[in-house]
Amino acid sequence: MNINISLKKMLVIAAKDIKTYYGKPPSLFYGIVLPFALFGAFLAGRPCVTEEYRVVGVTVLSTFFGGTTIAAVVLPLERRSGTIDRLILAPISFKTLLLGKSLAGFMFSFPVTLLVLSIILPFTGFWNLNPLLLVVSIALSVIFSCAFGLAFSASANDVADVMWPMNFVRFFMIFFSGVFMPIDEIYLFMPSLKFIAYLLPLTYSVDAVYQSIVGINDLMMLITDFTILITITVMLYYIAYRRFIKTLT
Amino acid sequence: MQNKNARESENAGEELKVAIEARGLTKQYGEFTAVNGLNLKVFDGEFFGLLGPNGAGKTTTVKMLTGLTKPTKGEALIMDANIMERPLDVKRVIGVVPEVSNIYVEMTAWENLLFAAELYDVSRGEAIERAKMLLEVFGLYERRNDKAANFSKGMRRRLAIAMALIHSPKVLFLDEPTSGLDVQSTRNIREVVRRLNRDGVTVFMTTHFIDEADNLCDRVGIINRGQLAALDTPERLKQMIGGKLSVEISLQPIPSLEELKEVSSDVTKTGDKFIVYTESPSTTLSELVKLANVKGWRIISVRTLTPSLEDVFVKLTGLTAVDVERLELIRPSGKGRSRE
Repeated sequence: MNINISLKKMLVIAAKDIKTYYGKPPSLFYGIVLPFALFGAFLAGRPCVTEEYRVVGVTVLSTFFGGTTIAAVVLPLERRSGTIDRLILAPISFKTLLLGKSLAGFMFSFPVTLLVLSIILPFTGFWNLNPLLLVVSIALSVIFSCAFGLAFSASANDVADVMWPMNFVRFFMIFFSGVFMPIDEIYLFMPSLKFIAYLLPLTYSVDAVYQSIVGINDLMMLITDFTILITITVMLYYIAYRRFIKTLT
Repeated sequence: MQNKNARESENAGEELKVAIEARGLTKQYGEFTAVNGLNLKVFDGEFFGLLGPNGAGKTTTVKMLTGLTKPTKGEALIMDANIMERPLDVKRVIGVVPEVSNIYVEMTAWENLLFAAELYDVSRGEAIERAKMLLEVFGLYERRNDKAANFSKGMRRRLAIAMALIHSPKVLFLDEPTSGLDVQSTRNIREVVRRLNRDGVTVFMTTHFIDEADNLCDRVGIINRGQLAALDTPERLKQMIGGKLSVEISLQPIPSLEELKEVSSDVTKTGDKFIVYTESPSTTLSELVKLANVKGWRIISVRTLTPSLEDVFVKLTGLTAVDVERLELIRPSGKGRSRE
């Protein structure tokens, strides 16, 4: 299919999802309320956390929960109401359809994260912040999160069926990926388990955002962050596609 | 009048263009076989009805023909294109109305139609024109700016059909289009679909309303337990099963059953009417008129009855008359033998 037509249809699907699903309670709760409530709870419990980690934490939580939630909410809701059939029956490739769905997640999470940062950053002293790198890091993190949500929801019929397993994985990831404090501190008493952090893609998202805010301190690591995030995102989209196709058999 | 041409050509034995073809379509869900080796051809411009009880495999058949589900075996072709090999080409020419009205209730009727148009690459100008026309045809224009969440079931159904027609499809699939709808919506939908077919759109409709299939369809397939039990025009199907012909008569004053047995020994009384079973309705009719004159009875009403599509359905599906009554609960008008 012509790339312009595919892009146009992705936008059409995303625009419809924005109109239809952004205001739904699961989108608002899991996409906005929950990550900020988690962040607030953590700050109350660990006031000693450094300023840069507060900003990194809120940024990554916003990208991760926003992106994963919309993708995970939209598909099951469409399937439950039967409207997914309308999209399947339209002359659109399934890849375009799924990318359109994740674009809706991107258009939710990306501006929300930027808005939150634009409110927070003036009160911080991060003069080494690299705005372009920050935007790219946030965008990549959001795209990865959308793919993650899509992979979970591609064959689900109900939001609850997605949220239960996805929250299990999401919480595991945010606690072991250095979202709230440096990885060294997390694994201080069990350094041999530090490898777990490097198995979790969110770790690379955290590092990319961290280096964008405090300044690049390890270029190789930053390149690794981007490479791994892109690779995992492609893999997750492939998984989502296979799972989606399987629903038609 | 393309459908008429299709029928005429068929009678003349000419080569007809096939719009929909199922070749050995089979769908299995684990051990359960929902559709078993379905072979079927629907001709261009034809109004085809797939009739069957609930769970017979009608919806699964539509899903396989439209690409909503992958067949376990066999293939489906629309306008000579295999749905599995050229899905986008097929999807451009078909309109599908599934059993559930799949509209976006958070959006207005107008937004729903324009969204559907964008999915099918209908230009903005044409989309607006067609959306307006379709909303008017389906009696929804006044409510175009209302969210579909506020629509009744019948209105949602009409909107779903309008959305399926926004790109002017050549082939229209309707899965139980009038199931559970009010009389107004049912009439509106039937009339619009009939008109579309007259204008050349091939219609493939599943239904469990026997009268609907009888009144609308050029040909009817009866599916039972995943297999096609019969396939022909409604009238030929009625002839196929044979059965007794009869004359229904209402007389005043109401005579006794014994008095009518002078004409035929096989007479039953239903309400204030008598049904006289016969091999030759015309002879029986003239004998009844003669008897009425002799006895001084006044004939209130008289009609001949032939086997109905319902009789065919009952015979082929093994359903009892009570089952059929249950299926037809919403519109009892379709019950009983057909009147001529």
